[in-house]
Amino acid sequence: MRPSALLYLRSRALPGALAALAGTAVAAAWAAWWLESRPDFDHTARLPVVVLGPLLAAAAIGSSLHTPSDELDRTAVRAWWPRRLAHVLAPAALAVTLLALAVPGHAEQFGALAAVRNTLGLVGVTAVAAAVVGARLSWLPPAFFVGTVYLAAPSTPGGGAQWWAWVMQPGTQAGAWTVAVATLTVGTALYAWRGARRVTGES
Amino acid sequence: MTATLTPPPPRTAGRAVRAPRPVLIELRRGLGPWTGTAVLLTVLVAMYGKTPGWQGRWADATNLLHVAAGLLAGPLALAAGCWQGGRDRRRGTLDLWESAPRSPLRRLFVAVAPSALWPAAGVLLADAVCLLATWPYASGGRPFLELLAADAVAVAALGAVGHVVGRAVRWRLTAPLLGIVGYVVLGAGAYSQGPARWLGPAAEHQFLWDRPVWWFGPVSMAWTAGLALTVLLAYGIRRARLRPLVLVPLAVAVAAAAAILRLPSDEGPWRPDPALARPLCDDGTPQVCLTAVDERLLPEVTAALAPLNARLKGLPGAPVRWVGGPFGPPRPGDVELPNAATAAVRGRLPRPDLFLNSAVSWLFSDTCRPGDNTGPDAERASIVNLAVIEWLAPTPEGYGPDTTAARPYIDRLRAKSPAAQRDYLGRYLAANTCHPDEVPVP
Repeated sequence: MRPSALLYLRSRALPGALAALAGTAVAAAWAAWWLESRPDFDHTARLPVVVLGPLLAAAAIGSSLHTPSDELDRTAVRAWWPRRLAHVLAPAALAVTLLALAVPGHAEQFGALAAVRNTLGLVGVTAVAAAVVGARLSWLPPAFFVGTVYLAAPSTPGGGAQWWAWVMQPGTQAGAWTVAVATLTVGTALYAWRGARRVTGES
Repeated sequence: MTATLTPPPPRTAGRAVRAPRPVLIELRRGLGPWTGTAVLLTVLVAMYGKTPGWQGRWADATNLLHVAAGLLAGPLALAAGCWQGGRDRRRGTLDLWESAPRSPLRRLFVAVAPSALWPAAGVLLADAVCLLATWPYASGGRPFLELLAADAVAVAALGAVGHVVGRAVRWRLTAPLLGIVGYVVLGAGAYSQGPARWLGPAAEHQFLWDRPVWWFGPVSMAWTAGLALTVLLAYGIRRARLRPLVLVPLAVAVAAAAAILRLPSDEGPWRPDPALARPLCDDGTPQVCLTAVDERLLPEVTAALAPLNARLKGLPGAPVRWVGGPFGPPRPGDVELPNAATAAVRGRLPRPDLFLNSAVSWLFSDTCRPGDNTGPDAERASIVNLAVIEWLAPTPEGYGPDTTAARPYIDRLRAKSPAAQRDYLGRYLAANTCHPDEVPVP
């Protein structure tokens, strides 16, 4: 690996973020196994895992988008968008793979498909938040969104809820996938274009 | 002579100009107001999504507000408090704070105020909105305000604890991780069994005719506030001779926890309230009786059952009372009603036809013993049962079983004269439907 790439990785604390992704996947795998093994529960009890695991993974990716030398970075002669794009998509791909492996079986319910969709969508929300409110606080908007829809979503899947409560839907809902992929596209594009918002006098 | 322009004296001359209090400045700035707004919106959106389920009864509204505060607002307050706690380190103003002529503990309390007070204010405002929305439609009972106050204190305590964690731990992911861990712990605590679940701020209780023991709300507040104060003092007191002060809130918290842990594990602090379960009946035949909690629904239920009651009036074997509530051992002639509050939306039954259909199905659903409902006539008896239900209260479109097989019997019942219909219904009510050979064929 080139020294400049290594410096970039270290300046964004990416090794720590990648370790956090691995830890999230291990915790999600254990939680999914534990929930499924309870006497009164079955695979449908894994809903909290496919919602909270991707949320934590997205938070880890979002917090790594912070740069301590924003003004200096913006004076560089090279275009930043390829690095920014790679910075969002490469950890997202890793998180998607790890979380898909963490919830095996019953993909049509709350399994790998739902985990992949929620990871993609929540990374998108986090990328939008990084561009709008700053990278350090980028975990808050997706956490607020998940907290809001968690109880409000109807127990029956589909209908209008697949559009506004897409994180709560089983893995095969087309509407939920559309929203998640669109959010990822918009979030990644916005972050690649603008970068994380520079926050001065951070509150 | 040169005139000298003298500026007019300031309007505040003669009065000492007081600087704004630091706590007010802290409350106005930073993440606090946003946290309060986020908590308010989170609880309101969650409540809005479940509106038909809670808007008719105080107990339902209080219970769902309690769960939303504990399960959603609590983790949010924890995470936001943690973020706010790390603010001074992030912006490099720790030394500036140290130079202020205030004790470390006082500075800590001022800094913690937004983390604790804003989420609590968000919860209280959401409570007020939801209780006002319940008011026009609820009848008996009252909202358990002491439990809602305890929820606000618990959320404030979580915000304060999060703040201290944010000050102590220097890691980017502390705040979201703390929020998620809080969600998992509070959620697991709410759905666990045993007396320890009543220590958590999200423990659910859905029995409508109970009220909590009077001391549970204040003791819950003492438990959560004592725990948060212990953490704050342990972190904020630097002088060794003041350290034992930490034991005071700790002792209060332990005593409160001990009182809560002594509660029965299943019903916890909840006790039956005879005033809420008191039957209120109309003067029809058969009578319709609901509890005081559903008093406002009584005219709606009476109107929904009116066509059926007109057919049943005076028939031998017809119900004497339709009962919807825990009225003790059933009297002869009592028939249980479907849950009227579940079917109601804002004090009205939007589908009286569906409620009537459910009531007729319940009327003819005898509890049979093993070995009953067998023999060559079993299938026919089942179809006749379906036909009688369909004749008395047609199943609305999209609900219930397919009635194609019962169609000939339904047509025959409808074609009968009123006297013949009444005669058949009397014979059907007198039959034991668990014995297929006794079921009269229309």
